[in-house]
Amino acid sequence: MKGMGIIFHSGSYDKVYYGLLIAIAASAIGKDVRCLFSSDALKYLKRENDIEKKIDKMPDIFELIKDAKKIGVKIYACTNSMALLNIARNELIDEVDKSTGLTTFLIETDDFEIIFI
Amino acid sequence: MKNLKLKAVLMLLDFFCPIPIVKLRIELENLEKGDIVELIADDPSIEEDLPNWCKETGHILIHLEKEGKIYKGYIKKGEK
Repeated sequence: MKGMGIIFHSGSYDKVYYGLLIAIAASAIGKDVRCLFSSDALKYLKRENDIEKKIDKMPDIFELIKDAKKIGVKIYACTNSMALLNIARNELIDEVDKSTGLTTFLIETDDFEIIFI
Repeated sequence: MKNLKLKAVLMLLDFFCPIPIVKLRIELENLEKGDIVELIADDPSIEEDLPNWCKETGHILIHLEKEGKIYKGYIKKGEK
């Protein structure tokens, strides 16, 4: 089964949220799923943030990331965005597998479908 | 379905697609082949997604029923 690479670029809550739903649904049917958080989306991987918490019973973004990890989704932080936004590795949540550049990500996901959010 | 020996019950009311399937997948990973899980949900997409997901992943959907807006699914863990 073809893998799926998802590049999160927008910082919009609903876009990141739906992107994570795509990630976990794809992983649940057996796809190899790897997510790269870059630019404004990187704030969702920070330990300390001022992002609003959930309003209904559905999991919030941070719970979705935890669920995603439980079923094998890989979470990467874009190294370049970290440098630009001055974010250190220890400011990111433990669920982050590694920081990586776009080139390495695209090599890793060579024959995957790529989704840009 | 009262005579089934359940290993776990997943109560997932108010959780919508694809969360019930993802929670089921997480639950099945902790169980052995042949174990049975009851899934209770009110997400209407379950009606289509649960049979298709089981077929795709090799788990067995023993039974799926609907009472009002509530779905009850009985899933036996397959090979994976």
